[in-house]
Amino acid sequence: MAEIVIKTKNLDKSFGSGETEIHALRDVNLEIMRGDFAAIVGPSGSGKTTLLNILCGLDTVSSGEIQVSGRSLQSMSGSELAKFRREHIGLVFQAYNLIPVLTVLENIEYVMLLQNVPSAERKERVRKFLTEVGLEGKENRFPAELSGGQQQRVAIARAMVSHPDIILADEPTANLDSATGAQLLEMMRRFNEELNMTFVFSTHDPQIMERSKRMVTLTDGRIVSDELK
Amino acid sequence: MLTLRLAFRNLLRHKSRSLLCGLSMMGAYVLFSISLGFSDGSYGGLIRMLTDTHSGHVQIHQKDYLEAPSLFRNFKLTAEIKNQLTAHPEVLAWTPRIFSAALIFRENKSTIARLMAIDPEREAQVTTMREKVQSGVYLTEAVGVTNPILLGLQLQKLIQAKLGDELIFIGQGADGSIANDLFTVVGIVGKSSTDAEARRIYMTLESAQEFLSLGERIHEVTLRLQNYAKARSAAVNLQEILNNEQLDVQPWQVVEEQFYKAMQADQQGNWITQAVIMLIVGLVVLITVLVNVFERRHEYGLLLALGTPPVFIFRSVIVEMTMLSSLSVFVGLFFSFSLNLYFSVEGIAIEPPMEYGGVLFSDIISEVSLFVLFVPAVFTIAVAFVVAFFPAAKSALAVPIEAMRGN
Repeated sequence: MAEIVIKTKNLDKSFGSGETEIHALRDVNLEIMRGDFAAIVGPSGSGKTTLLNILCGLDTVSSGEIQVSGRSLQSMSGSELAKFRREHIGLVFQAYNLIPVLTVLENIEYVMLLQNVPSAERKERVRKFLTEVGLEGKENRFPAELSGGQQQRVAIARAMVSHPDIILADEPTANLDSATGAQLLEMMRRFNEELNMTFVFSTHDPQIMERSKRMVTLTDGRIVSDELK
Repeated sequence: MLTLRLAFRNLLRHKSRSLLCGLSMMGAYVLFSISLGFSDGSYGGLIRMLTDTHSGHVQIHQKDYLEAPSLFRNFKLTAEIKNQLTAHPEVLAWTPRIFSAALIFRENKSTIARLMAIDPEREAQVTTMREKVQSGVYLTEAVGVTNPILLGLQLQKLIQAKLGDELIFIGQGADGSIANDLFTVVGIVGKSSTDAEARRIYMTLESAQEFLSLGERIHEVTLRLQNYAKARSAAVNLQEILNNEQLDVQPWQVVEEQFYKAMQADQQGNWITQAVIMLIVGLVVLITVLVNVFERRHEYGLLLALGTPPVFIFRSVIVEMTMLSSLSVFVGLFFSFSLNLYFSVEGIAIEPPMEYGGVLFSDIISEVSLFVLFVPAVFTIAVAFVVAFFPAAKSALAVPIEAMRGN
């Protein structure tokens, strides 16, 4: 039986209060298994990004329970959450979000540096992922010297290189042309297949929906469908 | 290492802003250092001038003499005291003195004058007495003259005396008798009527002891030390060595209390100026760090989202500012050293000369010392360090999602 890496129970999230209160998520119950390649889809404002932010502990819940890799995120302090993300979660953002003063190589090894991974192992893993994402020879470039697609490759490599339990990707292809998006998606799918990495996307992109193994649809903060493909 | 790398690259990221902030810190450091250099140099000069021209570094009197000087508060300078003073390692030279006053007459002119009796040879080793003679000769060179005196310029003008004139002195003897004698003017002292010397008459110790019926007794022993900064400790040490309850050994700070207090008040005023300079630096640093932190808010949110410990972010902001302030101070060291060195040699002329504590000063000079160079350096770096705390804490404690949203 597959291991559950994310589990939410009766998750509610609202912003504001009184007449201005907005319910971003309502009674969300979700289980993500190890090795899932799941897309959370839905119209704008349906709560996809909010759900992803909650799953990685960047945002808090109003009520309900959430467990990631067997641990309850609600009981953790800010520094504990930072440590948890460092060790268990890889993040990919729509806007790439690379650290502008670090080179490609340094951006990829950043989380491993925080994890105190020995230098030799760090270099070895970075070299491997540079090859995987097709950026050999560009390791000493700064993010500003790269195209959008190249930056997102670096961001994906950074998220995966530390071997996290889950990769959470928020609209990873939204700023890319369809060919580059398809290429990156193919790469992630390959990592999912070969390394049994768990991927959860929030997306509007039909390419991701097409390639995902599972599709969770959110409407007005509620899960209206959860299909295995 | 990663912290250093991030801090260094962040500094290079906005070169003009870092340069502006660095220049402000460097400017403040150099200003602080020069201000301290002039302060130390001027006070050092003041102290040296005061102690060299008159007071020496340490003085010995009979108890209570300093509070209420009197002809009768005298003591005998025994061979034992002389030996103890000569043997003391910190004492470079010493000289005995007698003080009194007398009515002086020349033909139909008369005035009251302050008398100071000295051992001419010893006095020249302790103070610049010999150099005060503007015309005529110093007391040691008045060979064959009975009761030679050096007459202050102001007194000379009052009684219209000239070199070689004989003056009649009338005063009170220590034995209660009326003292009177004839004295010969061998030299004139004092450059202007406002000089302390211009209102005095200097005579030899033997003449004064005879004139005032003091026998072998004196009022004061003035000491010159190897290092004037050790005056207080040397005075305490000498008091113990002399082991005489009737004698009072005091450093120049006590002897010239009024001067010393005026100097201290002046120094405190300087510290206020220096504190204002540091406050301005602090504000510049604070504004720069706040702008940087505000601008990088999204980035700090990202770092926290990637799992960066808050303490790492705090440290990187602090390291960045400490790096910039250290670099500024390092470059500033060259300027502050050069400028302090230049002004320690050239000085700045005061026109017209200024009187301070009865001593006339014609220029102010700076001083180059470790204190002058390193105290402002430590202050500048410390101010940058402390001021960076608030923005550093603000960045480290940011809520990642809010920081990334730019709220």
